[in-house]
Amino acid sequence: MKTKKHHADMLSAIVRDTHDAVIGTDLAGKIVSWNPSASELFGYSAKDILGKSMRQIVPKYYWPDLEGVYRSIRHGRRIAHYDTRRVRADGSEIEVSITFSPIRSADGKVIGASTICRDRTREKATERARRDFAAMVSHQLRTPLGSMRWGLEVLLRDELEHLPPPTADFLRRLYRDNQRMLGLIKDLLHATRIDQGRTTNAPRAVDVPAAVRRVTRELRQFAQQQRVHVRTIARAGLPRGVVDPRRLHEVLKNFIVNAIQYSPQGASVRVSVSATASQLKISVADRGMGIAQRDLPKIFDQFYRAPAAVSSAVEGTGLGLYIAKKFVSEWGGSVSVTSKLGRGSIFVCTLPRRLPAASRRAKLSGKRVIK
Amino acid sequence: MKTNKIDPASGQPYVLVAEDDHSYAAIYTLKLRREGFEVRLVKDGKTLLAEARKRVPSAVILDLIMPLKDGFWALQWLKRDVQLKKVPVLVVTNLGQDEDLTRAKELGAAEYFVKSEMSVQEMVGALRKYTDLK
Repeated sequence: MKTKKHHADMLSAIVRDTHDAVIGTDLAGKIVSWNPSASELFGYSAKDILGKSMRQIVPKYYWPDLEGVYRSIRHGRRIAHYDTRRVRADGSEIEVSITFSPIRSADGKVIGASTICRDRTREKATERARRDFAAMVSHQLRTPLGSMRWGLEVLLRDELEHLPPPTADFLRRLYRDNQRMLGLIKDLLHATRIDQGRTTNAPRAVDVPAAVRRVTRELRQFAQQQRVHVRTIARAGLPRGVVDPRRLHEVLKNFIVNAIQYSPQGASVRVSVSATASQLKISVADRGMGIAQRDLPKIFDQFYRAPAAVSSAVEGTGLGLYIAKKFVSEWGGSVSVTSKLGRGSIFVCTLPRRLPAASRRAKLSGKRVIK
Repeated sequence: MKTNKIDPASGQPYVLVAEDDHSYAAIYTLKLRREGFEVRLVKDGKTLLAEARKRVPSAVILDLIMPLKDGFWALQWLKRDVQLKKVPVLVVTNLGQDEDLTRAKELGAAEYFVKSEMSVQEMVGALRKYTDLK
């Protein structure tokens, strides 16, 4: 008995002292417990808020979502790290990450909900400032780099015969560097727009093997230059994937260009498409340098390039795989990689055969999915 | 859209270029003159409109971010002017977002190019397409 009380005391001390707001409610959403961090975050004392509805701290336009949350709770489901907004006693709104869990009685019946709420306002503002800054800098850099490009093109095209060969060679090097920087900025701006949800990404039924063939056709010349053979394997009559066709093209291109670039001369790259009951699977296999095990978890991170890739002759920005992952996840698919150093890598991308439930619901109600 | 032929007075297509960046302006002037165009350079949307009204150009190259009145403003007024509405306007800008492209096209731009993503030769080629200079 003593141990039980000791545990209960410890638990309440944890709830009391945690930096996160911890709120307990019954199944109707009536607030039954409220810790000091909740008072600090929302500006209500426990005395003021106990017995009131959760709606008190939820903006009106999120009330339907709140009802959905309680429906899930009643079914015993937990909702983790749900990013949403809440309203403070002074009426100001804050951005929070919330985890809702069902509270069960001794006999396992769901009797309420516990809410752990973390303030993300500052974090979100910093994130936004970083993105805006990246966009602004990239844009400002584009103008001078673009005029340098044009200037170099005029020199290399119109003045070439008047230039001593070493000067011409020097200008060509400058031109290549300029192209590289413009490419980097283009990717950076593109990634920023994706992060801000400002790119079009409208999934519809798409013939995936045909999309793969289009990309390989487009890359034929590049593959020939690299002396790499690209093989496509897809049986006829595969179901359609539900993706945005333009974005799929971009995703496939990122994977296949990588595979070609990191392959040794004379090697082949195999792109295959297959289907399971609910998904389409695209795998891109190369016989290139491979990726060390320790680098694999970071390979889809923004700006990450494995050390071996950085020291290779292949140029990259560390954005291609990040962008690919971002789009595929938005469609409800996934990306993964297996690799062996010196033997090659296999990138696998799964695509939904139909819309994931969340976006279907959002589409029906015309609402944006809260991510 | 090839309504504006080579200017009978000069025998060359007359291109009005609205660009406020000095380096780009210098390249436009040098390159387009070399390629056989008559070029007049302006640095804001308001002057562009005034110059176009003085003498109708064969084509307009239009930057979007400019002082006084920007490219969108100029485009809107060019397309409202009976004398000027058929002059092809080639937007050449560093604004690369879908919404800018859509807006410029809706306002009547014949082409929309992101400056840093096109070569100087592509720019010349596009201009040739809209004037009668082969």
